[in-house]
Amino acid sequence: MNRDELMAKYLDGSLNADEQAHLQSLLDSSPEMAEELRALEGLEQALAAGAPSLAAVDLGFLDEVGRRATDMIPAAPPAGGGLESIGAKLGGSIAAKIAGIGGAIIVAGGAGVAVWQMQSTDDLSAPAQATEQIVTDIDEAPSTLRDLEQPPDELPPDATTQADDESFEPQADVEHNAASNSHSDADGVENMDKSQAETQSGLTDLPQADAPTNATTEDAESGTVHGDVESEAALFNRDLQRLNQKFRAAQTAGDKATLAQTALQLGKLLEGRNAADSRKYYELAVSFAGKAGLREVEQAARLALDGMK
Amino acid sequence: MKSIDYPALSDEDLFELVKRHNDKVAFDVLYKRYDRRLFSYCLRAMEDRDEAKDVYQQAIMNIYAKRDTFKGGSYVAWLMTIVRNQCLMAKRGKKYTRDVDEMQNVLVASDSVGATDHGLNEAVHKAVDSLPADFKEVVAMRYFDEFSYEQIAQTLGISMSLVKVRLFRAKKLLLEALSPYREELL
Repeated sequence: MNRDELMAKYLDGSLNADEQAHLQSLLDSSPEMAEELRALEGLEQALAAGAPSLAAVDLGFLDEVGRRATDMIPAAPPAGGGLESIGAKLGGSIAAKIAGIGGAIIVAGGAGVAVWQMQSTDDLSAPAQATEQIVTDIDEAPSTLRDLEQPPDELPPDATTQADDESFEPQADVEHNAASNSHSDADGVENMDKSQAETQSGLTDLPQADAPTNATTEDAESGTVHGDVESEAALFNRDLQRLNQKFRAAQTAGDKATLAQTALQLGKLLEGRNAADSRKYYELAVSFAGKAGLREVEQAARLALDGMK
Repeated sequence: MKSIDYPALSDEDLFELVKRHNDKVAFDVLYKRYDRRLFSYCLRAMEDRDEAKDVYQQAIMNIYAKRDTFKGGSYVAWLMTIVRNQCLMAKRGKKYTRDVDEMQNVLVASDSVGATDHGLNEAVHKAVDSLPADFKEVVAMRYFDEFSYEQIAQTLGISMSLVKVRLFRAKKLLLEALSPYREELL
């Protein structure tokens, strides 16, 4: 093994004992090599420290793209597959991480809300952490939570979706040049046209009775309603109602983890439509995620709040 | 009420939830894990913020449509392949312009690396920009995007040992380019 190979392995941290001893003897006999190795270590530190940071405007853009991409995912299929089948399909690792036995997962359904009842099995034992995340004292919730039991402020009359200013034109597929990968991205962009059209369309309908925002119908009366808009609006209403129900159920159960995740979803859903409510939900997400130890959710909510400044 | 601990799931488990159950929360958690790194990659690849945004957006919007092409392995490598191919396709469309621009960038970078009025950080970036494309890509993915050797190898379709070789050679070139800053590196 030559000196470059030894230095490369040293920098990787993959030297064995013999190679370590060999390198040390070379370094002892060659101050130039020792200096070069120190310089390479310094370079690695400089490279790691020099990772370019993204501007705030970029973070807002990333959130927006993420929201649009999420919106393009159709509603979940109706109930029919038990959650235990998810665990079976995904393997034991996910099953072990699903927090709880006999619980229910609520997912959005095209025709409503689908509830997958979890069956109690040996494989679906609840991790201790999940138990710790469930609290029963709702008084620990921030005071703003109680505010949410009342319908928040009304949406402004023009609280329609902001017009998208980015292009979503369907495109040709991309080339393959990573032949050794165990996968490909060769197939087409099925459903893209319809989904993109829906994503592009603005909202003229607004949240319904159970939503955290009181809807008006001014936009619907303005004559701007068309098919795509109605479809988008209906989807929005369903999501809003579903999340609101989920939030209230978690609130009743004192399930801070679900409260955090649902608040984050509500914040995103309302972003661009009602900044005040969106901000309120993000703040709740930060609070609950902090209490539940969901660092990733907390970070996402903080980023979203930063993007709203 | 019990819930899935999404953040605790692996990339691949989350994507299975997206594929099989259209789980939007899983998609969102997954998206947030890599959005910055992928966009940083696009920024470097396209060298133009608006173009990077277009390419990034198109790539992300394709993830769900392409979900069935993920046949296992590393999710992030599959994702990076989509983003990288999107960048390559966009760049191919303006190849002539790019070639001219790249030549100018390299000239500017090599002229200014040694200038004493730039800090080490700026000099490092200029030196990285002046590397051959293959070397530049692995350095940026490793140190700026913090991808593992394995992820880089899978994304680029090369062996891990070749990734390591390219990285070491790139570092040697960088040391040469940064010779005016040698004392600061020690």
